[in-house]
Formats: sequence, structure tokens, C-alpha cells
Amino acid sequence: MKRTQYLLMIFSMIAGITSSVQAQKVADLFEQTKAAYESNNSKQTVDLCRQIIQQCEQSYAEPECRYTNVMKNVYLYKGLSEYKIYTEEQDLDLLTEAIASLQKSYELYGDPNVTFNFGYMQTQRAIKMQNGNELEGLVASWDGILSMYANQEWQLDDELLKNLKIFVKQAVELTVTPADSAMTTGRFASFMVRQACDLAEQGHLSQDDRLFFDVYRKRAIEDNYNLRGNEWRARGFAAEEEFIQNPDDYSYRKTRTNLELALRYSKSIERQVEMLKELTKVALHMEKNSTDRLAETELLYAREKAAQAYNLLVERRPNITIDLENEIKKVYGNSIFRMVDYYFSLADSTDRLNAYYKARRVGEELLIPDRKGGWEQKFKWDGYEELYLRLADVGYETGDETFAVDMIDKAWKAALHSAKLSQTDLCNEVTNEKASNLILFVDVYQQIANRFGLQTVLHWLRPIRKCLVNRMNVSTNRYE
Amino acid sequence: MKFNILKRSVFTIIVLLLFVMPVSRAQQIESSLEKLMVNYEGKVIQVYQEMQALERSPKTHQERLAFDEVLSNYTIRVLEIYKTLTRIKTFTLENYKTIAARALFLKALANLDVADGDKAKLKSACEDYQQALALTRGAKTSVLSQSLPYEIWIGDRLYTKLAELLDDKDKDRVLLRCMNNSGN
Repeated sequence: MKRTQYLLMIFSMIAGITSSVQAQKVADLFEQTKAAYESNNSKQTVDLCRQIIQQCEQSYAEPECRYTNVMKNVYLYKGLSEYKIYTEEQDLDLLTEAIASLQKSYELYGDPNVTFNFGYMQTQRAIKMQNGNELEGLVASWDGILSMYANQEWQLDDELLKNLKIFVKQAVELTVTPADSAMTTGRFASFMVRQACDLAEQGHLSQDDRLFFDVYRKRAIEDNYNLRGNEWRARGFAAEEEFIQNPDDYSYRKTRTNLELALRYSKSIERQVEMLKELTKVALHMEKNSTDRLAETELLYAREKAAQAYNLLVERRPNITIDLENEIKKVYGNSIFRMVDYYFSLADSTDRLNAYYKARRVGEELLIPDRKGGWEQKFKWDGYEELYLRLADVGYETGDETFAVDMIDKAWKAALHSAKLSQTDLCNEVTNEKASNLILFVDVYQQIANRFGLQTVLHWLRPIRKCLVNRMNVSTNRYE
Repeated sequence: MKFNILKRSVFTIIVLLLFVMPVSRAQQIESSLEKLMVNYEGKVIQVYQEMQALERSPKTHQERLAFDEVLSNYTIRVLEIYKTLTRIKTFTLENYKTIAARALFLKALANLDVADGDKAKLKSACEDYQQALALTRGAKTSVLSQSLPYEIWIGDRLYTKLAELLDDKDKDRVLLRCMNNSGN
């Protein structure tokens, strides 16, 4: 009996010693973890945290394992360190681990900062995985922000403002993820951005911050709360600016992609016509400035987009400004003119007649019967006289008298209209600049009149020509 | 004489500091909490309306779930403020109860909206509905039949009472049935 009692005593003593050694070990480990975390040694921190967690799973009786304050920090250090390693190695498993660790830390203590952080990481993972419908991260981050706001007695400090900006940027990034096929309607992200802007307005914002939130609020509201479409539009415009400065293939593709996505996700006709117009502009700019591209491809693209915009304008009557309407007409007219000009210029190197007829067919897209047996352009646009002039050239080259005369007559009238001049008082009103522009029209008119024997035209055209040449000479002499 | 007046003034200030200031401070806290409660109730409604603006399709399910989560979080805040007010106030809390109940009703409706057979969501909806009714039990006019202090627009329809919203959004009478099941 006594022997058994001794044995029991020895056993309990050994057990006591072992447990105290282990308790010491967890405490030591935690101190080491803290030191490693503070010295930014992420891998060591993660290892030590894992050891603590493992040890606590084996022996929950250890006091440190039961101290919320210790364990919430163990999971916090682990999560934040795993995240640091993730930023270096870009291994998504690590990010998932980091999220799980922070969630565990949050469960133990409920720190709103931790909620914000794991929400941020969840959204980052969704963005990385191109999983645009994973919205839990945004929900968690927002919950964290609201709790932080409450903890600060509903005052907005710099830290919270910084978090709000991070939140807005993430919401925007998530809504444009994935780029090519939207998984949600974007309504939730738009709403959350508006919530963040509402909250930010409760504080005293610097000018830059105010601008930031104003811009994103506008982006979240415009086009029927179309944050996704608005963001692509903004990115499209930014890329376009860069492209205008440096028209290379990379910036062209980037601009087109962004604008095409803005077009795809546009909710209103107004937005659609605007994006189509912008795409036309970009393609025309590419054709004009690039040397290593096939001009025809860009011109065909520009013409297609411009035609779509114009058709929407006519059929759907969007509520747009006169300026935008004029711009759409201008890019459509310009894209047709440039195509006509392109085919016309091909006549030197390829089958002449075929090139002229191709040019005429393209130009006819903008022509409608004028009820006098001739043709007129569907609408007036800034530069419409140039198209008439080029079509008159086409008529001249193909020997189509009626067409050539009709077009040059309209070109001449359009040139006078654009220059705000009247034929009767031309000599008194015309300036040097206008004279040098009008002389081109007079020359083609004279050429056509000569070829087809239009004596009356030649009769009234001669004094006009003389007067324009005199005006140009006077000015040239003045500057000599 | 002057000294006496001074003494009296100091005494008055001390009395004010001792008795009046704490009262006014408490009132200040109460007033700011009430404002915040109303503000968060406004948020609950905003979320609910925004959620209803989404058409019902599998594509919008994730977004509706997210809206439901945000709405729940705002409701939790309304309830937290309500609980704080019950602790600091000694007299009637009719108005606060009504605000809390309205938020809970909307939470129940939002849960129901996204439940789609999810038992946990349905259970939560039932619990919120029951809690809302329990909160406002004994009110002169049922909270469901009271005119709302704000308008709820869903599509082209305007709702001025929660009862109308409940009839419209709970056509299968799920919430009513969960009251029967609970034996109330």
C-alpha cells in the first residue's frame, strides 16, 4: 500500500514538473515570438507561433494557452507575419493562412483593427484570384471601420481616414475584377464607396482628401450607380491622355481595352455614345500618328464605332449636350473623310478605278438625296466641306460629271459657309488665311469645269480666283 | 457683503458642477446616442432599398448576401445603442424601442430575401421578427401599422408602413408561420 502511495506521489511530482517546464516553455516562446515580430523576422515569428499553437493543442492546461491576451496576439503576429511573407513570395496559400489566423485572433478578442485587416486581405485575395463576386472582405472591412469609428467616439482621425481610402480603392479594384466578364452588377461596391464617402465627410478633410472622396463619390453615382463602367471610363481617359502624348501600340491597346470595357458596362445610351465617340477618336489618332500600323484597320474600326454612335444618336435620341452631339458628328464625318482620303491615295499604287470606287462607296455612307437630284451629307460637321471636296475629286477622276459637279458645288458652298463668307462680297471680306484655304476649292472647281466644259462656272469663278490670289499675294508681300 | 455674494456664487457654481453638469453630460451622451441610432436606422433603410434595387437572379445573389450582411451589421449597432440607452435611462424608452424594432423587422425581411431555403437565415429572420414584436409589445399602435417617419421606395412603389412592406415581401407568410411555430 505504502509503495503504491510512493509511486503515485513520484508520478504526480513528475507530472507537475513536466507541466511547469512546458508552461515556462510557452511563456518563453511567446516572449521570443514578440521579439521576432518586433524585429520584423516574419518567418521566425510564424514558426514560433505555430509551436505555441501546437503546444497549446497538446496541453490546454497551460495558463498562457488560456490567456486570451496571449493567444489573440499569437494569432495576430502569425497572421500579420504570414501576410508579410505573402507580399514577398506572392503565395496565395500564405494569404489564406494569414486570413485564417487573423479571423482566429478576432474571434478571441474582437479587435476592429483585426477585422479591417482580414477583410482587406480577403478582398486582396479575391482581386488576386480574379474572383469579383467574393464580397465578404468588403463587408468585414466595413464592419471594422464602423467599430473603429465607434471606439473613437465617432470621431474621424487620420488612421481611419487612411483606412477609408484603402477601402474605397479596394472596392473599386474589386468591382473591375475580373476585367473581361463582370461577375456582379457592381451595385454593392458602388454602395460601399458611397458609404465610405459619407463617413469621410464627417471629418475635416484636407483639399486632396476632399478631392479623392468627391471623385469616387461621383464615380459611384454616375450612369445609374455604375461604379464599374465609370472606373473603366476614368481609366480609359487616363490612358488616352498618355496615348495622345506617346502614341505607341502599347498605350493604344491599353486605352482601347479600357474604353471598350467602359462601353460594355455602360448602363445608359448617353454613356454608350460617349464611349463610342472616344473609341473613334483614339483609333483616328492612332492612324494619324503611327507609322508601323495598317491604317485601314484603324480607319475601319473608327468608322464602325462612329457609325454605331451616330445610329444611337438618331434612333435613341439620348439626352446629351449639343457639344457631345457635335463631337460625335465630327468624328463620324472625319472617319469617313479619312477613309475616303485613304482609298483615294491608294489610286497611285494600286488599281486606280477600283480605289476611286471604293472611296466613293465609303463616302456615300454619309450622303442622302437632296431632293434636287443630287446628294448632300446627312449632317453638317466641323470639316464637312473637305469630304465634299474629296468626293468631287473622286467624281473627276472617274469621269462622273454629275457627281463631280454636284460635289464641288456643295464643297464650295460648304467652304463659304464654314468661313462665314458670302460669294457676292467675297473679295472685301476674305482674309489671307481664308483665301489660301478657299483657293483649293476654286482650283478643283476650275479643274472640273474645264474638264466637263462648264463655261458659266468658269465665267464666275475667274474673278473669284483672281481676287483670292491677289489677297494671298498682298499678304505674302507684306511679310516679305 | 461682497464676500458673501462671492461665496454664494462659488457655492452655486459648485452645486451646478456637482448636480447639473453630470445631468447635462448624460443628456448630451443620450442625445448623441439617439442621433446615432436614428442615423444607423437610416443606414439600415438605405441598405434595404439598395438591396431591393437589384433584380432577383443568380448573378445578383452574392451581392444581395453582402447587402444582407451589411444590413445586419448596422442593425446590430442599432441594438447595441438601444441596450446602452436602456442602461443609462430610467424612464420610458418607447421611441428607442420602436427604432430598434423597425431595424429588426428590416433585418428579418432582408434575411428572408436572401434565405433561398437556407435554414440558418430563416431561423435568424424568425428570431429577429419575434424580437421586434416582443420589443414593441404593449404599444398603443402596433409598430407594423404605425406610419413610418421616412419613406421606403422600392422600385416605383412607396411604402409608408412596415405592414405593407411585410405583406409585399413575405408573400408566403414565412414570418407569420414562425410566430405560430414558436407558440406565441
